[in-house]
Amino acid sequence: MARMKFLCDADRCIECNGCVTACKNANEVPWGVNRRRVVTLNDGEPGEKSISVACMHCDDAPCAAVCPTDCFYTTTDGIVLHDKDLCIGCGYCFFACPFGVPQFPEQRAFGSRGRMDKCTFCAGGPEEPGSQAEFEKYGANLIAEGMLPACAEMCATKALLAGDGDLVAEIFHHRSTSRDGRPQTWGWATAYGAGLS
Amino acid sequence: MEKQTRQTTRSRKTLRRIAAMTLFVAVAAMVVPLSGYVYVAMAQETEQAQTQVQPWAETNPRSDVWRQARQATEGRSAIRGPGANVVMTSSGETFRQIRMGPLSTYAPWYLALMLGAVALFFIISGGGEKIAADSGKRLPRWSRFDIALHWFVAILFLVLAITGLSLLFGRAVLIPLMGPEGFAAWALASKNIHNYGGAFFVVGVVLMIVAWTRYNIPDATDVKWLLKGGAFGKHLPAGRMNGGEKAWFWVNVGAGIIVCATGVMMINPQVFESRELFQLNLIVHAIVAILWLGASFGHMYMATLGAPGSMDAMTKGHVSSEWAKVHHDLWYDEVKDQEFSDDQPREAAPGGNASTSSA
Repeated sequence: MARMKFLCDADRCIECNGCVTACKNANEVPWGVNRRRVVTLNDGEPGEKSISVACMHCDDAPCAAVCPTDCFYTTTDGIVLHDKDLCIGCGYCFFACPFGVPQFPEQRAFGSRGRMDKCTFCAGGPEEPGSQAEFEKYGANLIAEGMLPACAEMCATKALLAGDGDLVAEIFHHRSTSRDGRPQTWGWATAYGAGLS
Repeated sequence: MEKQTRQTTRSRKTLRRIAAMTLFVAVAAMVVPLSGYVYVAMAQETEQAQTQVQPWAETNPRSDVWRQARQATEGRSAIRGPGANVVMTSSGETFRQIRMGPLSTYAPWYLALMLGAVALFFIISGGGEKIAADSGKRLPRWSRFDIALHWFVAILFLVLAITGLSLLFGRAVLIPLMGPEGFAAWALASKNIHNYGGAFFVVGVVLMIVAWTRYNIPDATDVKWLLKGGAFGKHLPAGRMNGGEKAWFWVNVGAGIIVCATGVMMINPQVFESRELFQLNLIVHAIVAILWLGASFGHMYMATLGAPGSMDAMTKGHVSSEWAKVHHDLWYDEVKDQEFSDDQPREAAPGGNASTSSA
């Protein structure tokens, strides 16, 4: 079975936020909810880099570990999904997640939150694949249609890769070994001594 | 001829000098630039010496970006929201490790040990001394307001304990019993009861602190009472509240303030500047609340089996004079003029704050 992964190539990302928009469009997420976001480090300085972040579909997902109702599950493709019918909106997943992924569309009295919403790798949820109920709760199920997540498909510079981890790694390996520029040879002097090239 | 020869010799000398000069300039012109190599070699040597001092001073710019990302460096994001400008933080893993590790492991053991200790104490001591209330004389102890306040806080305490424990241990204990859907419904109810009930509980705890602090100022009698083992069934001199009761009151004050403050902050999550503070808050709330719950088992035991007759104080508002003499002799001496008889309807109680009901 494939092990689905996202990878953002920071040397290619141009912070166009196309992935965020593609995600919103494909999944029709509520206003104010962002299943994906782009973070720019050292913004405005030479060497600034942008990284697109969404759910990383962890093997040992902290959100799933702390959930009081055990509403998370991992598909055979390694995609971490959750059952909104079991979610009570406690927010523990948001506090455990390293990537700040869980989103809470509703704010209610006493700091209470609506049911959690997050990136599904465009794989829907526990409802019947392709059904209206699934779309309304979880958004599109492109995986069931044999497609990949909308964000990665939309990426103009192909910075954001999604798919089987082995293939993604192979593509990125090819890129990083054939990439031009000084950082390619970084570590050469340390490994083989200065003066050798 | 000689003159000519001399002239020739001079011109030869001049020529030779010129040739030598030319040769020197030519050689110098070729050699001097080569000194650049010496300079380069020396410079490289110095550079090497510097690199040897700090071999890892140079970092890979590409690694630096991911290092920054890993270390929760704040960047900029078009998306607004708490922590949206940070790629990743690892404090959540600490929160997870504490909550699913020590907290989930030791809290049930602690509660079980506290229950076991109380049960063991009951088995060894056989319960408190049953004091015959033959005379029918009663002493007013708590007003209706005090009784209402006590049960308001006590019932909320139990409700909040049950709902709070459901959220912490329900996944392990209740899902196998109720099924995922059944437990999800109960967990949602628990969350709402805990949030809304907590707000009322805070009011109760604050009122309790305001109303009862005056009875619970510790003094030398209480220290003696505690040191000589008053808590283990010995009847030692005590005023209106004995050392154990005062200790329990101050446990309520301390734990109450911490649990209520952390709880109020949690239902107003906007007060937290960072996720780290919320995580810490949640852990402190759970630990202190569970310690408090364990301590309350002792209070429940003393009120029911540990000192028979005590329950009257918080149900009827008055206690038998015999009970007062045994457990609170100093207080009995103070208030014995307020004694009334159980079978007669009582007139307005002296002191004003005691219950007027004789039921």
